[in-house]
Amino acid sequence: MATFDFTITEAGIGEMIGPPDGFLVNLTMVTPPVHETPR
Amino acid sequence: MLRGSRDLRDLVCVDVATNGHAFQWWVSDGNMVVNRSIGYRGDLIVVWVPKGSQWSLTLSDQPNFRAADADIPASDRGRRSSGACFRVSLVRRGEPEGPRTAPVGRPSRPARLIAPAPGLSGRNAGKGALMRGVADRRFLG
Repeated sequence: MATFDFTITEAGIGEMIGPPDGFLVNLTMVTPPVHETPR
Repeated sequence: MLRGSRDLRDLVCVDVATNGHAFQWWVSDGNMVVNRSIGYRGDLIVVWVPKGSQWSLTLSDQPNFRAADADIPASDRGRRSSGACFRVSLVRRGEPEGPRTAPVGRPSRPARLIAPAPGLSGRNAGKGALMRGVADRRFLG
Protein backbone atom coordinates (compact mmCIF):
# COMPACT_ATOMS: atom_id res chain seq x y z
CA MET A 1 0.00 0.00 0.00
CA ALA A 2 1.58 3.23 -1.19
CA THR A 3 0.40 6.65 -0.11
CA PHE A 4 1.01 9.98 -1.82
CA ASP A 5 0.86 13.31 -0.03
CA PHE A 6 -0.03 16.51 -1.83
CA THR A 7 -0.61 20.12 -0.95
CA ILE A 8 -3.35 21.85 -2.88
CA THR A 9 -3.67 25.59 -3.35
CA GLU A 10 -5.29 27.84 -5.89
CA ALA A 11 -2.25 27.34 -8.09
CA GLY A 12 -3.13 23.66 -8.40
CA ILE A 13 -6.51 24.20 -10.02
CA GLY A 14 -6.78 22.08 -13.15
CA GLU A 15 -3.95 19.74 -12.22
CA MET A 16 -4.31 16.00 -12.42
CA ILE A 17 -2.69 14.33 -9.46
CA GLY A 18 -2.33 11.01 -7.75
CA PRO A 19 -2.21 7.40 -8.78
CA PRO A 20 -4.90 6.43 -11.29
CA ASP A 21 -7.90 4.62 -9.86
CA GLY A 22 -6.76 5.44 -6.35
CA PHE A 23 -8.42 6.34 -3.11
CA LEU A 24 -8.66 9.56 -1.18
CA VAL A 25 -7.77 8.67 2.39
CA ASN A 26 -7.11 12.03 3.97
CA LEU A 27 -8.07 15.62 3.30
CA THR A 28 -7.15 18.36 5.72
CA MET A 29 -7.64 22.08 5.39
CA VAL A 30 -4.35 23.63 6.41
CA THR A 31 -5.22 27.24 5.75
CA PRO A 32 -8.82 28.46 5.77
CA PRO A 33 -10.14 30.47 2.85
CA VAL A 34 -10.19 34.22 2.97
CA HIS A 35 -13.50 35.93 3.38
CA GLU A 36 -14.19 38.34 0.60
CA THR A 37 -15.83 41.57 1.57
CA PRO A 38 -18.68 42.86 -0.57
CA ARG A 39 -17.85 45.74 -2.88
CA MET B 1 -13.70 20.31 -5.50
CA LEU B 2 -12.00 17.10 -6.52
CA ARG B 3 -13.14 14.79 -9.27
CA GLY B 4 -11.78 11.69 -10.92
CA SER B 5 -11.08 12.13 -14.61
CA ARG B 6 -13.29 9.15 -15.41
CA ASP B 7 -15.89 9.77 -12.73
CA LEU B 8 -19.36 11.00 -13.54
CA ARG B 9 -19.72 12.99 -10.35
CA ASP B 10 -17.53 14.93 -7.98
CA LEU B 11 -15.44 13.01 -5.52
CA VAL B 12 -15.33 15.80 -2.98
CA CYS B 13 -17.14 19.11 -3.08
CA VAL B 14 -16.52 21.09 0.06
CA ASP B 15 -18.70 24.00 0.90
CA VAL B 16 -16.76 25.55 3.72
CA ALA B 17 -19.72 27.59 4.89
CA THR B 18 -22.02 24.62 5.33
CA ASN B 19 -19.46 21.93 6.09
CA GLY B 20 -19.77 18.92 3.83
CA HIS B 21 -20.62 15.29 3.65
CA ALA B 22 -18.28 12.51 4.75
CA PHE B 23 -16.13 14.88 6.73
CA GLN B 24 -15.47 15.33 10.36
CA TRP B 25 -14.48 18.67 11.75
CA TRP B 26 -11.96 18.56 14.53
CA VAL B 27 -12.71 20.97 17.35
CA SER B 28 -12.68 24.47 15.87
CA ASP B 29 -9.35 24.62 14.12
CA GLY B 30 -10.95 24.29 10.71
CA ASN B 31 -9.24 21.06 9.79
CA MET B 32 -11.23 18.18 8.48
CA VAL B 33 -10.38 14.58 7.86
CA VAL B 34 -11.94 12.05 5.56
CA ASN B 35 -13.01 9.18 7.75
CA ARG B 36 -12.69 6.49 5.16
CA SER B 37 -11.22 6.10 1.74
CA ILE B 38 -13.14 7.36 -1.25
CA GLY B 39 -12.35 5.69 -4.54
CA TYR B 40 -12.04 7.55 -7.82
CA ARG B 41 -11.53 6.50 -11.42
CA GLY B 42 -8.74 7.90 -13.54
CA ASP B 43 -6.55 10.71 -12.28
CA LEU B 44 -7.73 13.07 -9.61
CA ILE B 45 -8.49 16.55 -10.93
CA VAL B 46 -8.45 19.66 -8.79
CA VAL B 47 -11.49 21.45 -10.13
CA TRP B 48 -11.44 24.43 -7.83
CA VAL B 49 -10.08 25.50 -4.46
CA PRO B 50 -11.63 28.00 -2.05
CA LYS B 51 -9.82 31.29 -2.42
CA GLY B 52 -6.74 31.57 -0.27
CA SER B 53 -7.08 28.12 1.27
CA GLN B 54 -4.49 25.39 1.42
CA TRP B 55 -5.22 21.69 1.69
CA SER B 56 -3.22 18.65 2.59
CA LEU B 57 -4.21 15.64 0.58
CA THR B 58 -3.24 11.98 0.88
CA LEU B 59 -4.00 9.49 -1.86
CA SER B 60 -3.50 5.76 -1.79
CA ASP B 61 -3.51 2.99 -4.32
CA GLN B 62 -5.38 0.76 -1.91
CA PRO B 63 -8.58 1.42 0.02
CA ASN B 64 -8.17 2.33 3.62
CA PHE B 65 -9.90 -0.39 5.57
CA ARG B 66 -10.29 1.38 8.83
CA ALA B 67 -12.83 0.12 11.27
CA ALA B 68 -15.70 2.49 10.78
CA ASP B 69 -16.93 1.99 14.33
CA ALA B 70 -13.62 3.11 15.77
CA ASP B 71 -14.72 6.72 15.38
CA ILE B 72 -18.10 6.12 16.96
CA PRO B 73 -18.51 6.27 20.74
CA ALA B 74 -18.84 2.95 22.50
CA SER B 75 -22.45 3.64 23.44
CA ASP B 76 -23.45 4.12 19.82
CA ARG B 77 -21.45 1.11 18.72
CA GLY B 78 -23.41 -1.15 21.04
CA ARG B 79 -26.69 0.31 19.95
CA ARG B 80 -25.87 -0.08 16.30
CA SER B 81 -24.65 -3.68 16.52
CA SER B 82 -27.52 -4.96 18.63
CA GLY B 83 -30.70 -5.94 16.88
CA ALA B 84 -32.53 -6.41 20.16
CA CYS B 85 -33.20 -2.70 20.46
CA PHE B 86 -35.17 -2.67 17.21
CA ARG B 87 -37.11 -5.76 18.15
CA VAL B 88 -38.11 -4.42 21.54
CA SER B 89 -39.27 -1.15 20.02
CA LEU B 90 -41.94 -3.02 18.05
CA VAL B 91 -43.56 -4.44 21.18
CA ARG B 92 -46.28 -2.23 22.57
CA ARG B 93 -46.27 -1.37 26.20
CA GLY B 94 -48.50 -3.53 28.32
CA GLU B 95 -48.89 -6.24 25.72
CA PRO B 96 -47.45 -9.67 26.27
CA GLU B 97 -44.78 -10.56 23.80
CA GLY B 98 -45.77 -13.49 21.63
CA PRO B 99 -47.70 -14.52 18.52
CA ARG B 100 -50.99 -12.75 18.01
CA THR B 101 -54.19 -14.54 17.05
CA ALA B 102 -56.88 -13.14 14.84
CA PRO B 103 -60.16 -12.20 16.61
CA VAL B 104 -62.86 -14.88 16.35
CA GLY B 105 -66.32 -13.95 15.01
CA ARG B 106 -67.64 -10.78 13.48
CA PRO B 107 -67.22 -7.59 15.45
CA SER B 108 -70.52 -6.24 16.73
CA ARG B 109 -71.95 -3.16 15.03
CA PRO B 110 -72.78 -0.09 17.03
CA ALA B 111 -76.47 0.43 17.74
CA ARG B 112 -78.39 2.74 15.39
CA LEU B 113 -78.90 6.14 16.80
CA ILE B 114 -81.97 6.96 14.64
CA ALA B 115 -84.70 4.42 14.10
CA PRO B 116 -86.07 4.09 10.54
CA ALA B 117 -89.50 5.52 9.79
CA PRO B 118 -92.46 3.13 10.10
CA GLY B 119 -93.04 1.15 6.93
CA LEU B 120 -89.66 1.93 5.55
CA SER B 121 -86.68 -0.30 5.82
CA GLY B 122 -83.46 -0.95 4.05
CA ARG B 123 -82.67 1.41 1.20
CA ASN B 124 -86.05 3.13 1.45
CA ALA B 125 -85.18 4.33 4.93
CA GLY B 126 -83.00 7.08 3.49
CA LYS B 127 -83.74 10.75 3.65
CA GLY B 128 -84.56 10.96 -0.06
CA ALA B 129 -87.19 8.24 0.24
CA LEU B 130 -88.82 10.04 3.14
CA MET B 131 -88.98 13.28 1.15
CA ARG B 132 -90.43 11.50 -1.85
CA GLY B 133 -93.06 9.93 0.38
CA VAL B 134 -94.08 13.32 1.72
CA ALA B 135 -94.30 14.75 -1.80
CA ASP B 136 -96.42 11.85 -3.02
CA ARG B 137 -98.85 12.26 -0.18
CA ARG B 138 -99.05 16.00 -0.86
CA PHE B 139 -100.00 15.49 -4.52
CA LEU B 140 -102.33 12.64 -3.81
CA GLY B 141 -104.19 14.83 -1.38
